[in-house]
Amino acid sequence: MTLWKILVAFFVLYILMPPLLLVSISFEPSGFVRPLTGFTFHWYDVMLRTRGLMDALFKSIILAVLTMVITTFLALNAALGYRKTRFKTIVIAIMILPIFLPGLIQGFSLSIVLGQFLGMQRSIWTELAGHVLWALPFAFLVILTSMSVVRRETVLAALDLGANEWRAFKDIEYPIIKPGITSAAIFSFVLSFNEFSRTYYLQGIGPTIPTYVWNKITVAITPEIFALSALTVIISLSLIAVATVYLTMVGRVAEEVTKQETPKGLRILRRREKASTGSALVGNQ
Amino acid sequence: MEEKPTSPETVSEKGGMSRRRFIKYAAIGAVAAAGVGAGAYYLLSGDLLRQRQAPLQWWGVGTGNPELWSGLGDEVVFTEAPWDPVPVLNKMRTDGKDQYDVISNAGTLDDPLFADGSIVDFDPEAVLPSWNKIYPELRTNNPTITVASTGQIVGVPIVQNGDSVALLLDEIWGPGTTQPGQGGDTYGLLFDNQWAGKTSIESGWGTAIYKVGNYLARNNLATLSSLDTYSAADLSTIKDFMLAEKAAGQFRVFWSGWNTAVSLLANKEVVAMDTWEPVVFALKSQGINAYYMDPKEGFSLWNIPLYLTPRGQNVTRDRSLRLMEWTLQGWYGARITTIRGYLTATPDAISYAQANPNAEGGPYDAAFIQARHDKVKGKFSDQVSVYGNQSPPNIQQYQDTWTQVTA
Amino acid sequence: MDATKTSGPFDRLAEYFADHPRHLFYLQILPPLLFVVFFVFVPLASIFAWSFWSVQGNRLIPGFSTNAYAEFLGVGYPTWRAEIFLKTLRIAVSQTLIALVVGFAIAYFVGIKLRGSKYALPLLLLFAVPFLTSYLLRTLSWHVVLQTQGIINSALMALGLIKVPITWLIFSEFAVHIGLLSTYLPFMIFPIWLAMSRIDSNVLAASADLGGTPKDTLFRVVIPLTLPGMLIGSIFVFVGVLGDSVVPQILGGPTDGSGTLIANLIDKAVSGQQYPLAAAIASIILLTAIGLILGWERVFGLKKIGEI
Repeated sequence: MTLWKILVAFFVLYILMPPLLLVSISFEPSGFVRPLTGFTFHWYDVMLRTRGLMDALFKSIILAVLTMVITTFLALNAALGYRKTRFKTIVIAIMILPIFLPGLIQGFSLSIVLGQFLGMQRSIWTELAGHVLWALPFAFLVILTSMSVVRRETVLAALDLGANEWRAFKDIEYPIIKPGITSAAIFSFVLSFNEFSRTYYLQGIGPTIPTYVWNKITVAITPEIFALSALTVIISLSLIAVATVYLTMVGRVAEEVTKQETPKGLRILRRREKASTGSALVGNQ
Repeated sequence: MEEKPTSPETVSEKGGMSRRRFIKYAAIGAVAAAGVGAGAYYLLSGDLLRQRQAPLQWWGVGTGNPELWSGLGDEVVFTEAPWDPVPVLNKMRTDGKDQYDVISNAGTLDDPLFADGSIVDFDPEAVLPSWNKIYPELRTNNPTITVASTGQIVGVPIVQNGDSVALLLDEIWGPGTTQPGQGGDTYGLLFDNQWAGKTSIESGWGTAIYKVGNYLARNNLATLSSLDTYSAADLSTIKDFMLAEKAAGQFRVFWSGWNTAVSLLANKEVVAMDTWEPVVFALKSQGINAYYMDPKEGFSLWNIPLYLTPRGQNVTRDRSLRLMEWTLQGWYGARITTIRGYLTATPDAISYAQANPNAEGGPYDAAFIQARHDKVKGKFSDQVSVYGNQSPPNIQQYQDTWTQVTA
Repeated sequence: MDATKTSGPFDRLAEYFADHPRHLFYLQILPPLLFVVFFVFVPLASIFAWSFWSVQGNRLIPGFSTNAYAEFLGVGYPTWRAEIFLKTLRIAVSQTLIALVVGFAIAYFVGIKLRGSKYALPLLLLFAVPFLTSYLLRTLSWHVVLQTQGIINSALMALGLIKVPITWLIFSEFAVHIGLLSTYLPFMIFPIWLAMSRIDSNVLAASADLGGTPKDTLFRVVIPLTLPGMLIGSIFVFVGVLGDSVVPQILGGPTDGSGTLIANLIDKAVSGQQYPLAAAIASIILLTAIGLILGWERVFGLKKIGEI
């Protein structure tokens, strides 16, 4: 078990190395990409004063939120519809097709189709289309997975008892797949926030954060973008730390209370816990 | 409301459930408040309340940082444009004409841009008061602002320079060297066996290819039909040379992007690199002993003129022209020359620095600015430096050649 | 409480759809499908078409010519582009295998060994943190680790393990793999973990009860059940590598030709107005991808994804 832990710890460090390095570079006085030679908050100050960067951040967030809402809605409906159809293979093939398209091919072909042949101007709507397209397969698969936990019999039972389809969904299925929907939403947000290749070809007038970084990084020295990245890293790591502490606290409370139960109840409780937390996207919800 | 059945789970979770719900609502409330706060801050500090005019849109190659601009009296949004001619031409041909008021891109793009109707002839001499203060060698007989077929002048030359090679003096000639020693005045240093694996060339052909061409031609290593617009045979010669050097392991990497360029030298990955002069400025400001070569084969010259788009002409004419006028004046010139070392359009930069050495973004050293201006003007008139054509007729061949070289 | 009692605004809508189930079905499935069809199939078809056209004066002119393909594949033209394509395929395959092994191990740890632990979710979230930062900057930051005066070399020299810095850590295929793995590993971990989280604990317990060693459980229970997840993860990684132009540019080098991969060729073709060439390259990549889907359908059946 310790070997496992070492292995996983190594790879966690490996994955987190770039974000942590970005934090380090954001404090580097020269702004060069190199090990720390000093320490300064100067670039954070510049970042807050750089109008273009703040605009790009705002736009990225708006796009990400829109993508999140639209993609999750479309994916949920697609998953619900998928279950009813006989043509499962075709539907699945179409829904996951965007995964097979490298972003730059998707972006440049779409931009020419929209521009040269439809005469549509590139705008935030074209970017949104690109983002939704990118996130849709992921969201679809995640929701589909979480739906597979719902047992057909439970839903049928509800229908037999006279519930219409909406109530069956809202009261039976939805609570179970809520973690899946939440994950799909988070996925969509993150994927959209960081999307570059499609946005590059489809962008309207203002850049998003990834395209802003791309534009700046080729010709200008702009360490303030490192500051922005570092900030997102620090914030997200803090949120995860807080969530871990919170879950630990909740777990401890539950343990405290269950200890007051009878040993038999305790065993039943533990077994149910294991079964339920193992088979769906985890939430102590 | 249905009764929740009593079971061990719900009994034990009841305390946790309501606490959980409270925390959830608190978190949602906090996020919502933050969102409303951020939105309000953004709106209040933004265009909606500040002025009823939309800001001017300037699309150009990086010489801008509008939040640091002084004395303009207008709001400008500067968007970075690529150096590559094709994306620029395409963008302007489609929606750029209506999105941007002024643009500044690689010189020699004026002909295709004008032919596309992406930029207009606004007779700068008549409408810009500072036009006649521009250095004569920049405003007369300058192909980058003159439409070849009609002789109309359609651009304002705002920044120019000649590129060569950045050197790490300490690494090549020993610690404490202040001037390049033997071999420090030729592009041959990039191809010198002694520094195999420690030199770098740019992965874009824009200025790099003309340095190689100059090197081959002026050292009689090859015959080229022209030094500013290469034929297919010329390109083939250059390609063969570069491929041979690459196969011999001469190059550490083909770099692209400012951060990579600076980092390669700052971390001593390479000792000599073809790049832009501001890289040397940035390194020296951090105490690194870098030097920008004066090659005997000549510099690779470029400039970035300012052009007016149809939108600038029809919608925001007065403001756009005022912006152009402002770039010809003292503060902009002084600032650009100080931080980048480029030659700016008028000698106003020097007199401004003399009168206002501590103006915003300074301190400004008039003697330094004068020296830079003289130096770059010298590059343009030294008879060996070459003004490379940025949109040659056989651009695809250029592209193919350099892609294969850097592959 | 009687479940048939209607309450709430959606119930009237629900009544309508209860009477017309087909309408609901179409409403649910058509928007996403049409969206994908328009935004994916139309560009796909366009690319195939353009690869046969030609360019004149910055515009695509219809016509028919296989010139672009010839130029790309090196038939009657130099073969360097085709070589780059093969090199990219090789790197994509090896990268996918590496990601598969590592990703499976990590997903196994989180999904099986840490089952029920409160640390499972935060651990998973840690793998998602890099996604909130710029891809370009993340890749660039590897310089600090890999360069001649970087963290690895400094550490090795300080420990006395080497006398001269290792130069092939950066601007080499090794660096490209390091960069690619750090980007695409999460893409592999998540689908496999999704699949693993579906495996009922009772199944695992049953396997142990029936006398299986952990290794048996692994090979005969876990792997077959997570196969769809592994396949999806592999597709993400493989296609991701094929379309990646950033990592080669920043971490690749000329000594082993890792500085330019197929995505860079497309980029440069587009920058040089060689649209038919770019389209031809893209078409070949797409054909490869479609081949993958068909192969998958033949061997495993696509429906299995739905049971991820």
